[in-house]
Amino acid sequence: MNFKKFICLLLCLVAVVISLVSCSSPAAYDYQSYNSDTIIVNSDWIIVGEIVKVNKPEKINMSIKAIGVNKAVDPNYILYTVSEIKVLEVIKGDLVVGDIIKIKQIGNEKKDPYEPIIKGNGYLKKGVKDILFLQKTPDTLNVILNPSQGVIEIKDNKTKSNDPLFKSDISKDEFVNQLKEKVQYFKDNPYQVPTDAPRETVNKDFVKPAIK
Amino acid sequence: MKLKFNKKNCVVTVISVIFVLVMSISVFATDTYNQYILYGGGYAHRNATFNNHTSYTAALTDAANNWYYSNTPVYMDGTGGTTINSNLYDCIEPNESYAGIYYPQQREWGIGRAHAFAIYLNKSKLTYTSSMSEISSIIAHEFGHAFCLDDNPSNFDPYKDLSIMNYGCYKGNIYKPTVNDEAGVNAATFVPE
Repeated sequence: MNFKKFICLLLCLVAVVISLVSCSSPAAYDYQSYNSDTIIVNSDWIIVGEIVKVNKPEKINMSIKAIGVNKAVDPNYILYTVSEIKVLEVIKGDLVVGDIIKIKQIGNEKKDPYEPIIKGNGYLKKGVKDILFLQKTPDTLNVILNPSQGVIEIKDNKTKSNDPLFKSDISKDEFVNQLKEKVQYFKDNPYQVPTDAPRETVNKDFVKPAIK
Repeated sequence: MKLKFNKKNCVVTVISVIFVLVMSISVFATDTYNQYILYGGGYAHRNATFNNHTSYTAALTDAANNWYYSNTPVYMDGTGGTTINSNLYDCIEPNESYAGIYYPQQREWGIGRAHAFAIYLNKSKLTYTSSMSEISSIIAHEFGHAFCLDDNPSNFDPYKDLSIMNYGCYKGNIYKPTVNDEAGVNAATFVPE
């Protein structure tokens, strides 16, 4: 085998490996879906913010540790994009205008896009103003409550959301005021967890008689 | 035999690379009639054996039964037994807002189908406004990943049918597989028993 043939074969092998690796699916991270009330109740912070910096993607060790299991079962070095946001308006939470907070989003737009973010309003972009529903985290790399529901872009002073939870084309001020009113309402009237509606159930015993 | 590094060989190489890429990607194509997307890290077998989880017995039973009684070949065995190949764990991850994780384990070639899997429920997210229906819905969604279904964006289009794999399934209003999910699982291949 001469050198050129070897290079050709090597290129083919590399292509096969790259295609396999690129198609491999890592763990699936799934988020709760909220309605227009529960997204407010569950958010630690709701802000209008401007993205001032989008950092290079980095792998962060989340070390997911199952309760009752002595060691981390699946240490997860997850690829995140961390952005820095300047707070322009506080709708809920203990932030003040001018604060800079960090937010991490799973994946990266170019390297490893996370589909629910792409289908929503996409990754945070420098210079863009958004209304954000956030969860405060101990590692200070805070997170969006739901990657597709929790980001509403402000464009020409109007809202723009790809998720059906909130309508688009509402005046930003009108929308912010509606949110503030609801925040105050839930402060005065703590949210009650709705009881499960009765529904059809199948056999509660999953001891199976035989293979289907 | 000597292989010349000429135009013809380059073209053959490029075509081979494109063929491999297309073949690898085609498994993830969406069916245009039924709304599902297949997931490459699904469980290789159609029968999942697992232990009960004391905190979420009702939700786990509900989710397992909804899959077992679906119009698919999947088999759920919650009696435990000697060959547990799936586990439902609690975890506490206050640094994240996800509620559930499907984690494929013992994967073929390290990246392919799984021969075991774990489902994690993030307790830090399931303490306040989560009803048992929601938790059941989350577990059923994670089982959907195990049975080769990827997340399904169909809830972004109100004119399309819904799926347990919708990003927005956790309202507790979709808690069992729909015809779309059944079509997806029936399109997947499993190790023959």
